Amino acid sequence: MGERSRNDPVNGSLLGQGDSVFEVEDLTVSLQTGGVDRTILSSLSFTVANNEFLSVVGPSGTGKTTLLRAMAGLIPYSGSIKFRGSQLSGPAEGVALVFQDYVNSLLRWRTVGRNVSLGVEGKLPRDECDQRVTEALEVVGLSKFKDSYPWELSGGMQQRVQIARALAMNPQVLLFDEPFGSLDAMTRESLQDELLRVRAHYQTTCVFITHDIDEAVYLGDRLVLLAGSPATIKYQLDIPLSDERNQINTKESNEFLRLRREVHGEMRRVHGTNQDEV
Amino acid sequence: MAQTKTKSRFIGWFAPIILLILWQLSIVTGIIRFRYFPSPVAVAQAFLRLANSGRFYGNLSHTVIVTLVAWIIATILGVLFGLLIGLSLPVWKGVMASVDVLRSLPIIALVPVGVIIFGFTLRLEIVIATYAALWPILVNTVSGVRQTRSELLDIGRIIRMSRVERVWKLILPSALPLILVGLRLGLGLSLVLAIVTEIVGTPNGIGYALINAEQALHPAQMFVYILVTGVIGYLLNGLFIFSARRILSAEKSAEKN
Repeated sequence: MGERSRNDPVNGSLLGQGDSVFEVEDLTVSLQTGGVDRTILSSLSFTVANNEFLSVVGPSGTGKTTLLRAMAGLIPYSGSIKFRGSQLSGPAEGVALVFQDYVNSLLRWRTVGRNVSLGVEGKLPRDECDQRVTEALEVVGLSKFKDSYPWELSGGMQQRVQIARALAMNPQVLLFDEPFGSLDAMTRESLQDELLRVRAHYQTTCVFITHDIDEAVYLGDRLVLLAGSPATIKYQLDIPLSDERNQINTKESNEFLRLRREVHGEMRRVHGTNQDEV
Repeated sequence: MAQTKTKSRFIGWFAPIILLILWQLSIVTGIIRFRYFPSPVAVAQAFLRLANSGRFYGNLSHTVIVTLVAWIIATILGVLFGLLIGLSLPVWKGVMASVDVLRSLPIIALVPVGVIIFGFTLRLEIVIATYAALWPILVNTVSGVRQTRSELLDIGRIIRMSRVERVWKLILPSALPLILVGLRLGLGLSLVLAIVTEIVGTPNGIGYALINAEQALHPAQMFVYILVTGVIGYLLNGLFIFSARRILSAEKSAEKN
């Protein structure tokens, strides 16, 4: 086990080999559920390149969230997860996580502005902290709601507060755990576009978990399909769509439809073998 | 909206006034005939007499002060130990069974034990009232702390907060609504047990005055003290809710949504 990367300054030049932000090798995670040790993830190996948007898809209950929690340094694992070249042994500086359940992830006793400042307050000088909050709120379009409470906002806006809180920390990597899963279709689409815009603004590496294949293809530069019990990587796919994406043209393009069909096919295939195993 | 509010307030007074009139009538007409059952008018007269005597206020403030002092001690101890138990799984596993047994003991049954240990002293009153208020505060703090959402705890770790920061910024605020419930229950119990020890023998306070009035065969005075106790309880509770609401104004509006 190497040193935690906590003391490294956030600095691109310190990136490890091949510009990878994350190098995951032979990752196995077992968790206790109901007193029984259960292997959730088995021998996963993949990398996340700098400034890459990696979509992770898979049937629900496969362990996508477990993978994300391991990468966030929240749970013990065996194998190797290297973040910026050093072994991960706990939550690392420069990694932020956005949860699906925005209601319970926001501090309901704090205003939107004070929620966003949570990750930076006390760590940065006051004015820099304020500046980060202002910028993050501006990027997600919530400047006017700085002094509102989260419960005064709609679901989509609350999720944007959570994203702003992560952005204010100026992370190198954003981990998303099905962030739009509990939003309605319209809100989800507008947040997807917003996420692409935000990511372009901050140049952040993203790992995005979803069970929505359209979403995974639309957002990602690359896609990883996780399935089985214990879960393994069944399939990886580059998504060569242009960076300028939009809900209508991109989703109607032949390239998008081809990729989508391919992932659906793979999903059905692994799901089929899954059912045979049971 | 405002109109219905005043109306409902008026309706609230309706029942007790009718009850008082019925009470007075049934005594005047002789429907109720107990030698020591006073009429509302007699109670009102007794109140005016007492209100002009110094001892009344002495007893009143004694009980109120004991109640508040005991409640404050119980708050400090209850929240502190509640945090300790709620934050540490081994401690929780180790002590919760004992806590559940201890808090199920009827506190009134412990009063005689307290009398043997402390005698009829101020200390007895405070110890008993504190003990009574301690349990709801402790138990509610424990469950408030343990109900902190896992997402919040994860966020605390990802932001790499210190343990103290996590407790102060995440756990305590999210446990606050339940802690306040415990504080409110504790305040009521503190008052009741203060009066019980006074009735049993501590020579001070409303409970003591009540038992004195009984022995001096002054039923009207007894009713005055009973009503005063009710008013104290009502005011303490009201004061508490008022301040809690101010603290939790955010919380309150959340419920409305």
